Amino acid sequence: MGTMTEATINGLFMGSLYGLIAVGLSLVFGVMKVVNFAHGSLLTICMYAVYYLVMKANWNSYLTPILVVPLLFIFGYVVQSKIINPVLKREFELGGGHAVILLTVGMMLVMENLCLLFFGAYYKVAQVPISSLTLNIGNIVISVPRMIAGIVSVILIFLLYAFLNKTDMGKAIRATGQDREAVRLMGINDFKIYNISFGICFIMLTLAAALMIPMYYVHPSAGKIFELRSFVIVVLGGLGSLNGAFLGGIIIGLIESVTAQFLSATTAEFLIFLVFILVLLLKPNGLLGKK
Amino acid sequence: MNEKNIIAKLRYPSYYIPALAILILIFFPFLTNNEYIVQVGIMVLLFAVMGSGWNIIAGFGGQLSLGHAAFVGIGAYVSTLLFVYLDLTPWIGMLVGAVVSAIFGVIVGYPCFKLKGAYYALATIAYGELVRIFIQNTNQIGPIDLKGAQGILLPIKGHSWFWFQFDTKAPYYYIALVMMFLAILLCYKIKNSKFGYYLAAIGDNQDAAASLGVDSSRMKVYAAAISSFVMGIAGTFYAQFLLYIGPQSLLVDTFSTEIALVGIIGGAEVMGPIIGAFLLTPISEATRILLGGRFIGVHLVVYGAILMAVITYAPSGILPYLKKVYYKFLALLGDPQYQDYRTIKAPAKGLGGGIK
Amino acid sequence: MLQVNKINASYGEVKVLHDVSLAVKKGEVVGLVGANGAGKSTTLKVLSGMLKAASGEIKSEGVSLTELTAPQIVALGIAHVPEGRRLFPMMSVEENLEMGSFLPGPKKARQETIEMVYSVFPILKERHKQMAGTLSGGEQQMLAIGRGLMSKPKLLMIDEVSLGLAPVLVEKIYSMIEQIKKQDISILLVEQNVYLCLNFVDRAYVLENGQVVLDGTGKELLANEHLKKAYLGL
Repeated sequence: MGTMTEATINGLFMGSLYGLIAVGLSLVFGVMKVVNFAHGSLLTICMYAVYYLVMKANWNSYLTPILVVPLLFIFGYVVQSKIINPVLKREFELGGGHAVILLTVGMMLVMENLCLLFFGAYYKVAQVPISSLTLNIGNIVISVPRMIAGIVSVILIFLLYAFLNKTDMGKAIRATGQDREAVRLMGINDFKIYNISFGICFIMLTLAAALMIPMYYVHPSAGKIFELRSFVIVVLGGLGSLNGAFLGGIIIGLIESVTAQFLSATTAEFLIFLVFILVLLLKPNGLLGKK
Repeated sequence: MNEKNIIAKLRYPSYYIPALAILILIFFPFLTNNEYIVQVGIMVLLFAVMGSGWNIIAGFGGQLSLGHAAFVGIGAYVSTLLFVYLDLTPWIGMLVGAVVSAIFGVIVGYPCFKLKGAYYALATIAYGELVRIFIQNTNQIGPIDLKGAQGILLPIKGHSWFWFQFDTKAPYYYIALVMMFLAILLCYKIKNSKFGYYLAAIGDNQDAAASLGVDSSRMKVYAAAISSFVMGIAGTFYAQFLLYIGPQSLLVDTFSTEIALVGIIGGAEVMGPIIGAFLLTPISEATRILLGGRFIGVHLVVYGAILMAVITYAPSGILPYLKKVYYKFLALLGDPQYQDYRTIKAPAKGLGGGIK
Repeated sequence: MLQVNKINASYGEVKVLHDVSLAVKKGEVVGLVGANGAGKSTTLKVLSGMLKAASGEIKSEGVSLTELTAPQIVALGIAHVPEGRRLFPMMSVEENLEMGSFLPGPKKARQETIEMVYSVFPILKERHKQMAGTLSGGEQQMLAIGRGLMSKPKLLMIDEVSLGLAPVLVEKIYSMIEQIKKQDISILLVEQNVYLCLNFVDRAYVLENGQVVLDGTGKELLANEHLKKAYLGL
């Protein structure tokens, strides 16, 4: 019974972290209808940024967002406005095509392999005091950084939700996702909203990276496994839905943790993709979706 | 058209230049003593074949597949297992592998084809990953040693055409060259058939095609079968040429992406993936040979940058632009047919969504 | 308030507007009438910057709008209630109105403007929490007009005022537009119902195949023989 409880708790914590990683992917899709195939490599970049700040400047991992968040927000804003928007604009005018998807595939290749060139293929680990800290309740062992990641992720997703629902900018982002032409008639520049949304995606990824550094290795394809998870999660929850991303994260976290505990990590991996295919085929609009 | 006519026509640049190109391709192994360069040539031809296979479903039919490595892998594993366990000649193994690959293509393709755009691309990634995870973690199926993550080293059974094994690279080169010409012929036949027309209509606008009475799922299933058959053939060649197959080289998503890039960067026409392979594959092979293991990934940075540039500035691929230059060149050489090269038809709309 | 001089516009290869000229004076209500496909909605789209004019000039109070984007044109006080209403279906009535006053100027006066809109369209106040996508056709039209008013426009352009609405509702909407007019807002409206429109407006333009064929006061046009035959079935 203890192992089951432990697996469930771990699954919940991991799940909300997965949700935090996936939420940016879902936001970007919701606003500009683009599946960002570079999402994982963006996470990798965020992880390297946090890692180097921790290792070279001796920052506490959880404080790194103070510096990294604004930097990467600007980076995201510029990438969207200079690289993605021109292609997006053309796709809007001419319709159809996979141009933006392919552009993000190109970005993924460039970023992931630049990391490989600059930082090497080695697995880097930021051993910080908190990494090995555990909390023992009865016979249940909980890793402290994982617990922090789980709880903080929930709070961050909630904050993003509040931002999108309570502020004018947040509402403008939602409105742009619903009708980008109508939004222009309100005096809102739709492409600027895209820039900001992509920047926000980076903010969420940076925060996730800060939570992950005490627990995970950093390497050039560190983000990839989370990217594949994120695809599963957002499709599960319905592309574009934030609540869905959170719910999807929890489901995948639980599947992974419980299956890995009782069967094997490989079975978990296999099962996740099986769920992915089944959801794509049976409920492509997600578990919460209408059709 | 009789033979005399063709020879007479060879005085026109539009005939003698392609003829010259074919001659160079045929005599290429004799032009160099360097085995590495022949190896690069072989990889170019192999990628041209795989790109053409991918192009049938993705370029012609507009279904962006990012999981095509799975079909190459299935072809390679099936023929290799038959080769290792039953001493079956790879020539037959190749056909069996291709058929199994085609069946798999239909099985996974059929349910996926109702998905549109990004959803379809995601599904292809998912089945690609499923195949990889399965093989990577399966060491044994009954009496068959699948060797999981370790991969399979193919035994040397003798240098002969029967065993598809040779002590020089030239025979591999010629096999690959024939495969490429067959792939071009196949794509050409498809493109100029009713089936090719339907596929193009589906790729352009599925709903519009459906309203014209095109059975889009059936067309896509045919295309998937042919496409994965070609990939399966290429898989056997890959296995016999490199004498090693493993999930980390054959089934990773990067391999799928490389196959797709050849087609995307080339363009969605018959010659698109061929051009794509001739442009891209030397980059990857050259960096692999020149830089060794020191800068792994550098060719992918270049690939990615080229892809981004192509999508931004030439979304129909490089071929249409190359054609323009080529026609202009023919006109300069004085070919009477190409004097009005500026009016020659507009490029096809590729996966990039076309240009203005 | 607004001068439009010989604008031309096309969708791809198809030319839809030919040298359209018109003017709206301050405090005036001007109608744009014509058959389906005559280019009425396209004219509004060009004026609000949703569609680029191929040639011609648009001026408002001395400022040229021709090169401006839609968001810049709204900022100059020209609001467009577009064809098909284009509400944000997954947002509440109130959020839709708030989006109408996104720009810094209108935002300062948001609370007052919302009160004003609610006083013109009381039903919107009742439904302020409801998702816009779940409103009835008439309510959606009121919300679309209300959202247009939120940007504190000097000129409000309304497309398809009465399309798809029951006669009772049409009357109601027109009486509400009357109220808007009293607040010193110029109005340019597109209307299929020629008779209704000409009785309501100060002046009107008749569009046929992308060209202005007639213009004059409502009364003048109502008496015009061509118009009577072609649109009023008299």
